[in-house]
Amino acid sequence: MSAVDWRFPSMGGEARVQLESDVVEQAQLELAAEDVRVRIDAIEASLSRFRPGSELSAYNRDPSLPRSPVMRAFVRAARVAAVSSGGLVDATLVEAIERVEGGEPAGLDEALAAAPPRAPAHPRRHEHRQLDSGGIAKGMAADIAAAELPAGVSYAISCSGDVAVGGRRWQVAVASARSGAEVHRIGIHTGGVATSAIHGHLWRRHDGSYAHHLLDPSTGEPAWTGIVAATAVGRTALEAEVLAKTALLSGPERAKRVLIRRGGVLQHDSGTVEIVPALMATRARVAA
Amino acid sequence: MKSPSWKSLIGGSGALFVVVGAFLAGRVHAGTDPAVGKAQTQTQTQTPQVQQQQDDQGFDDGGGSAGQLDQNPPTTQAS
Repeated sequence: MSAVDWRFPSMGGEARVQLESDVVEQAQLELAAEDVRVRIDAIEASLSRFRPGSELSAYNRDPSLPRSPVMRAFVRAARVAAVSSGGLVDATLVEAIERVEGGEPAGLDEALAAAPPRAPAHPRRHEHRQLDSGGIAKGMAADIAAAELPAGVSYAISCSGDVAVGGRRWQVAVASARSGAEVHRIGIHTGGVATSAIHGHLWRRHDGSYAHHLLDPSTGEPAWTGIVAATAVGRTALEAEVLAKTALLSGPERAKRVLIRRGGVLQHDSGTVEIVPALMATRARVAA
Repeated sequence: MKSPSWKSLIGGSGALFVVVGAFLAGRVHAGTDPAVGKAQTQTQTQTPQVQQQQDDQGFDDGGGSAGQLDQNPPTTQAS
């Protein structure tokens, strides 16, 4: 059997491409992996908020500019994410995230100890024009790269933790928000798994307060909901990303209802790891 | 002995329906779906640890055979 397992830096984290095939030769499989890498790099270059020359930065300066297919897909995905999450997954919080981010890297427990009382996040009334790709681009990149693989290839493509899988039954490990150790495995044949968590970007600000990158759209401030990490299963990595973020921002009361359809894992402030079993199996193809 | 009238029968059934419905709604609001049952939600209160199930219990769908535990599985983490 041919197999490839590549890792490379991508989107502020690490991308991992695992391909397997009984019918595609090793050299061809490596070419397919290279195509995946090129595709992911291209999407990052197009949708990065941190690159002044990216198409996203150009869009944020002038939304009337012509858009590439990737940019159009991202804008559409951002709209779908906002609608399907009831406004909680808001890609237009650019000004707020730029105001919040920065400071000394902080530990999860010290931040939780100093954080304000826990409360679920709420949508805001008015969307702004500028867009931040955030997790949406990661899930989208994994899905697009997977959709372009040749037939007969089993795959697990991870973009900074948003994973698209297919071709065989995969076990996707869920990492602890505190230690990084594995806390659970999710079995899935075809679809996506993603985690939204506050500890990936956690800062101690100059005024002594703590901040992370998952914002309450109604306030523009970090959301301290009682959940530090939510993992979701979806028909695609993008859907999983949106579900995971919605669950985290919804708080413990509603998060289980967000995840129950396809299953997931909730990691609470207390350290409790709560496994939410799926009501239905995920068998839909990532791309028909 | 006098048998209950149709009005009291309907009224009693309606009241029972409202009571049971309110109870179930309360459970759903509390995050416990009565249709799912209590056994569907597992909670680990200990420090997170590796789960090394060899069967389907630890997985979230029933797709295909469980197979061997992957030694180096893809990992989902903070994004």
